[in-house]
Amino acid sequence: VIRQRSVKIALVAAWAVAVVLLVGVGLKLFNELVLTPDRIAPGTRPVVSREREKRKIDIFFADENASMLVAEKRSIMLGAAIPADAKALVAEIIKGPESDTLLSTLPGGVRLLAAYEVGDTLVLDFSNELQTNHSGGSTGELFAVYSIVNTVALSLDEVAGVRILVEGMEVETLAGHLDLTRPLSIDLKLLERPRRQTARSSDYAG
Amino acid sequence: VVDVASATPVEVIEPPDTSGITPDFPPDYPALPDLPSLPGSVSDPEKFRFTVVVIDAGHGGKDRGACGRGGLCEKDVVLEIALGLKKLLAKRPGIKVVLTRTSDYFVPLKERTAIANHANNGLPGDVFISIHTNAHKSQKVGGFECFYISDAIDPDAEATAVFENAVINLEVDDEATRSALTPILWDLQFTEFVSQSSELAALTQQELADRLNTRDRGVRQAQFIVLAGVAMPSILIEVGFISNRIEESKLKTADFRGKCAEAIAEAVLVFKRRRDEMSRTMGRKTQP
Repeated sequence: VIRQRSVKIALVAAWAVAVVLLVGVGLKLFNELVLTPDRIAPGTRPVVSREREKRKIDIFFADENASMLVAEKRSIMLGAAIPADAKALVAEIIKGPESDTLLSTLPGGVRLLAAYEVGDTLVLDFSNELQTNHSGGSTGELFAVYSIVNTVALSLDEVAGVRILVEGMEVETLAGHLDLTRPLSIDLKLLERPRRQTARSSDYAG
Repeated sequence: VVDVASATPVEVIEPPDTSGITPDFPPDYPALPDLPSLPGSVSDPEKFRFTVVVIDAGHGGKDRGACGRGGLCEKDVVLEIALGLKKLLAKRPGIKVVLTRTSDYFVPLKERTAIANHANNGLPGDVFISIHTNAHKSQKVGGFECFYISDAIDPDAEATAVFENAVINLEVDDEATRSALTPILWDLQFTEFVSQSSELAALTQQELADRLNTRDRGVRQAQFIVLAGVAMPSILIEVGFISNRIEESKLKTADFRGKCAEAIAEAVLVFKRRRDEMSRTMGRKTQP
């Protein structure tokens, strides 16, 4: 009986050791795989090697009715730091379209004062002309903002969101419509014609 | 079809008239009442009835909105369309109209959404309609279009808070259940708002196309502040380009403004009929 008991005790002890070991290994793995990257590099991303090269880039402008964004191809030297690349891209948008059938999207006299990264958000700080020389109207606002956001975020993979400031300050909107209080991401719907209406023929009737 | 709503008396709620006092000074709104508990049981179809239409005339006061080369400014055009729309809707049975501004004064965007979110005795209205005129630096650009909110974005914190208050009123005692339930319910509710907003935008665009002989620019989605801030289906209508010479002269006429108001009113009435029909169906299903 005593022998049987000691075997039982040994089994229980072995079981306990196994559990402790498993939990330990689990915690160690958890630490390494989940927690460590954040601890080592708070707020930075893995470094992607960026080669300095001329690239064919889509710069977005409004079509002649300002009903969609249309790309114009430009050859631009990229591969410097992200803010420097963003400055080169915005400079092309400010220059305006080469094609007669496209419309420029930014108000006259506007300059990009600064560009910097906060995590994967690119902050673009414009001169006050972005607001004061703006024509107003939601279409003018939408195309000004998304010609910038789409051009920059589609050409620079590292940029997930674009935050627009005016003279270093947060602005609610450019002219009373579009929310600029948070980062904006690519809007692909503006690259298509808006949908035509079929409200009458819709089979939705409650 | 018998309209049960016709028995309800017409009532128009407006902020106090501050015209002629200080146009640029924000009006003195009565303090927003505490949220009352929702009347009736969940199966009460009256609770779901569509009654309160919030009309938002864009800009106002020191914020002129966009102005045309002929000197016409957005804030004046949209106010007149909004007042015209109010007149058309308020005479219909079962509709209450709430305006975010009634004359030429400045109302901040956050205040507009707050008015809408408390328009129905402290609870959100049933639909939010923001009226604007458009502009572009190219004079050739023209036409009318309707916007509703992007479904890809999170609604504004204020709209979410209004909804959370409503959920708290739903007699869920258990704090844990409530906090687990709220984001899920709100997500479902927001999806439903986006779908209804899309429907109303399509209806309005069609009614405008039937009446205006300017370019139909179609329906778009955008992250506009007033649309993200309201806890109800919402659209923003751009009736025409004030930056376009021809459209500016049209926007000056009572005829064009009247047609805009008429088109929007018709779309809202169709939308209301559909919502009321849905409530009736829901009421029948939930009653024993």
